[in-house]
Amino acid sequence: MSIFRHISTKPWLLDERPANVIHPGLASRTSTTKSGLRLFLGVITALFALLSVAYIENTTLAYWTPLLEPQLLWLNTAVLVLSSLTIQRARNLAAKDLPVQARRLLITSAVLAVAFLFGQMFAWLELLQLGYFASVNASYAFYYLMTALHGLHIFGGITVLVFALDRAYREDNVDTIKRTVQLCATYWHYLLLIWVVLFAMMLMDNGSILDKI
Amino acid sequence: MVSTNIEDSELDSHGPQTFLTKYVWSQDHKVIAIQYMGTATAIGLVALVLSWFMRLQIGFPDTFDFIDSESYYQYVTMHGMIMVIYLLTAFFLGGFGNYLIPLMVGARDMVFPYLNMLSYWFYLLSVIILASSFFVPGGATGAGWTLYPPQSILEGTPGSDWGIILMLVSLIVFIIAFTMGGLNYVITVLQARTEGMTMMRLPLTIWGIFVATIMGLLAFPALFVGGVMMMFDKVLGTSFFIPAIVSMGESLEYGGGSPLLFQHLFWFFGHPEVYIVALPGFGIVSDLISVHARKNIFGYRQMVWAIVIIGALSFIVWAHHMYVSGMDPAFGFFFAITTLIIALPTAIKVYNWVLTLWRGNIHFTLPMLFAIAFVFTFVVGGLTGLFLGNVVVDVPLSDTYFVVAHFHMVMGVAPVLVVFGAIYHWYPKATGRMMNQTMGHIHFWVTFIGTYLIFFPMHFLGFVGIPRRYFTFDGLDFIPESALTLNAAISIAAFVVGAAQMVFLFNLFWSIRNGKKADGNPWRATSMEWQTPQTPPVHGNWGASLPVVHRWAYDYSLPGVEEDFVPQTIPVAEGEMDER
Amino acid sequence: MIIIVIIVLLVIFSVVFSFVSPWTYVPIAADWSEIDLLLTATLWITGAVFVAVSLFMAYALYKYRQSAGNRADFEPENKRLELILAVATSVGVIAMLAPGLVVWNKYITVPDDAKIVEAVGQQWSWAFRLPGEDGEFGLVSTHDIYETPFGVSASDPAGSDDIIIDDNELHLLLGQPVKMVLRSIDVLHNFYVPQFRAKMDLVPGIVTYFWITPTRTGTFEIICAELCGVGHSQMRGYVVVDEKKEYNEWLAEQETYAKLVANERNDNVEYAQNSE
Repeated sequence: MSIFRHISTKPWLLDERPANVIHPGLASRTSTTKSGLRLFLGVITALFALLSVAYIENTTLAYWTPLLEPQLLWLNTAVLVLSSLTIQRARNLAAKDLPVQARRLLITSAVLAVAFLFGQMFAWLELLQLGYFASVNASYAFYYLMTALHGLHIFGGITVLVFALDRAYREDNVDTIKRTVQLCATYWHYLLLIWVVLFAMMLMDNGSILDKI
Repeated sequence: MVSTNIEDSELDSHGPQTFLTKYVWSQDHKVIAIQYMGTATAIGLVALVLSWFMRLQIGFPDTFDFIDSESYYQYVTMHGMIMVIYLLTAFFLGGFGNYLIPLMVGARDMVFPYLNMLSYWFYLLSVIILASSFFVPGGATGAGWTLYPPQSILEGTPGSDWGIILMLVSLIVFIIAFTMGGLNYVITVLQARTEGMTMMRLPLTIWGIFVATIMGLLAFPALFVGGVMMMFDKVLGTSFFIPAIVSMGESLEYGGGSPLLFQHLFWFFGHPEVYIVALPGFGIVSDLISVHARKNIFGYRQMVWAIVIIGALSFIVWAHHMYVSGMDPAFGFFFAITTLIIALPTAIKVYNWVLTLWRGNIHFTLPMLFAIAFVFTFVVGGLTGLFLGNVVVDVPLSDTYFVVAHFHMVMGVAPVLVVFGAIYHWYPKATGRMMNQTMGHIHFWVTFIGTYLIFFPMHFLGFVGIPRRYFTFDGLDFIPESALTLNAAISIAAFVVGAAQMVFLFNLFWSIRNGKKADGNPWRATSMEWQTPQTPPVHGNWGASLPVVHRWAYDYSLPGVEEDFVPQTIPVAEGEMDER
Repeated sequence: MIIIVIIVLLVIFSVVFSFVSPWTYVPIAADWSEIDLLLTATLWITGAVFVAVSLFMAYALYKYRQSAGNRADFEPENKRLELILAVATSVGVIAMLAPGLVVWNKYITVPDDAKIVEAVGQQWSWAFRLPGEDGEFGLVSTHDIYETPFGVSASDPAGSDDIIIDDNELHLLLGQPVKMVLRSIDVLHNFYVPQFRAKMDLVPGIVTYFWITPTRTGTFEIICAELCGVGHSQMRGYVVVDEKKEYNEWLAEQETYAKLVANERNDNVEYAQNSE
């Protein structure tokens, strides 16, 4: 039923259908966690969207100088893509009731994500060694801020992946494993998407982004 | 992502056993709610005392040595921040949201109980960090609750080193706590409703909390971003919000930032925040009026629509806090229009409350008294908003005591009156006893009349043009002598009102043991929380099987039914159809 | 029952208070009487709504109080009534908003014959600058504020005749529209003269403005209306509105940027000679 039709029903009118036809009651655990994750991704979207708006606004200011992107970022991006691909493969395997095979890929994916985080830190170090501190220009301030916030979200994802899957595998419950892998994969892909958007924004800052479009 | 719904079969084995798991590390929404309320009350008391200190200085300047300009601004700042975020937001959503959502939608608990528990502990942590900022070198921040840079992080403002850093850390932790709780509230309302409970059969309390939580989830990220950026400016020396400036005779390293950017971020959060506090209040008050007037809420659908529309519109009105901030003045047109449009659904809510009373059977119980006081106060606060929203009328009034009076009426006193009304209303459900009536009446009359006497005359100080956030008015010739007398009178009223809250606190504890015993449904209300098999409800809420809902939450005084209420769990009787 | 009496009493108190209150707008001294008019109109409209809603509620409370045999009606909604109320409210809101927007348009549209005056705020004092005969300000840089008077750039010829008033007192000419150009060198401030009604924030990094036409001679206080640190309530200044003669006398006493620089150079030379 569409939302608009739903909120224009007149609830005081009696409805003689059985209660579970009118509304079936508590949704399954799978779907509540899935909705919870979606809502959380919505919150993250709000966070990064606001950050992006502030970023774009800043690129138009007089003091803005373009960022010197460390070339390492390309490699990091590739690592993150790989991490997403492996977790997707793990998800497919888990869906085919092959949790043991999925496990190896999940570990690979987590390791790749950790590698991404280290890569990001090396990129920081590279810039810091060249003297490009956050205080040099707003473009660097935004670079450190956005990579740090994104990195924290990746870090949170890895933590949940390790603990949740550890528990699921110890319980040896295929359904739990399936569900957890699925959720983790969704989160992984979404954070990859956010990273790609942030990276693209940083690449496009040579001059005002608005002139470029 | 890790969740544990309580399945029916798991109930016994999962019930908490020891004192620690039952009352401290509890995952039960009712315990978490009470933890939230207790913590919010404790820190709220601190904010109350701070307001006394402020009123001491304003009413009786130069009388008290311990208040100097620095400490005065610290009191102002911490009072505002605590009241808005750590008391009201936490109390309405963490407190009432936690307690009422599972009960009112007919669920055993929140959908993610573990996350819910974490939410509380993060909240507690944020409160502890906040409170600790009083004790660090330089003291708490005195930048005003709006924390506007550059001054919030520069010398010349109290607490511009440790104070502001702890403030920002505390806010960030609070936002994490809120997000964990908020995910729970929203998903529980969406997916854990029991059989037959459609969205349109929910009590308005749940609608208010539900929409407010969604708003919070979308608005708090703006504060988060602003807070983290300011932290960068303070700690790493970046210049997000700070242009080239000289401060205290020194050129600073900063350059290129925009102070207005912070204001936009802050108010993009800050305006929805007003409604995050107001909407749960709107919802609860609707239910209080309906129950105690023994009448269905008038215009239920319009009330729901109004809540949703207010929630949506509140995201495009933020810059009405910035009419004289130096932003492009052309924005003034847009934001004045959106702001006054929001007055329409708000007015409809007021009409519907009053029309619910019309042709009711009004019981003057304590919750009802507080609800009436809320409507009265809210009308004043809402109407004065029409001055401030109408851009050019705002010009002489902004940053004067008119603003202080307005927002205290509309988002200070009004929501707090709802909180009190709600506590008197649901106390018997949570404890099995009624609160003491005599103490309740003393508390009500002093609070209602007292707050009105504090804030109504204050509007007129604003007409004079007396600026807010002034440590002293010494030597200002345009302020008449009599205004100082009025300030002293307001201060005395403030002390009395504050003292009355002690009566309330005492009553709260006294009645746990000595209150009159209450049965499971003392107000004879229809909604689900009053239909639990035990009072107070035990872990899992509903005993062996979940309840089934057959009607909306407002079947009061149905024609052809002898009792003047029909609970939501009662099936439709034969022939009931024809009576309506 | 007491609640009904109290509500009626509070309404009476509010109305009486509004009429007898000695606390009201300070006598206006600028050409913004429209703002006062709108404010008063808003007060009347909202006051009427307040009285109507409160008294209607009190009446409902009285009429439908609990009593034996009284039973509430069952009335889910009344679309017609809601519509009427919504339309009536919209009309009231539009009646207040439309003139407000017209006046706002005037507030942000500076007339062509307005003279510019700059006010600069810092923690916690005011200073002013007039553009001099060429009617233009010289460029400024905040970082140079301690190098040259006011941070005016030495290389910009428009700056040499700028009149610098490093004092908390500014004079304005009666009847002459003025565009107040506002700058801050440190934190946010707000230029507010209650008698002028107008106000605007000073934001470091950008230049803001508002305009007024003084309509009454006298000395008025400038206060800061945006929290700017511990000295916020001490950040005071004065604006004096003069007739032509007094204004010109005052103006003649003020020094230009070029003069100030010359004086400073002389001082330095003198200082160097003395210390030899």
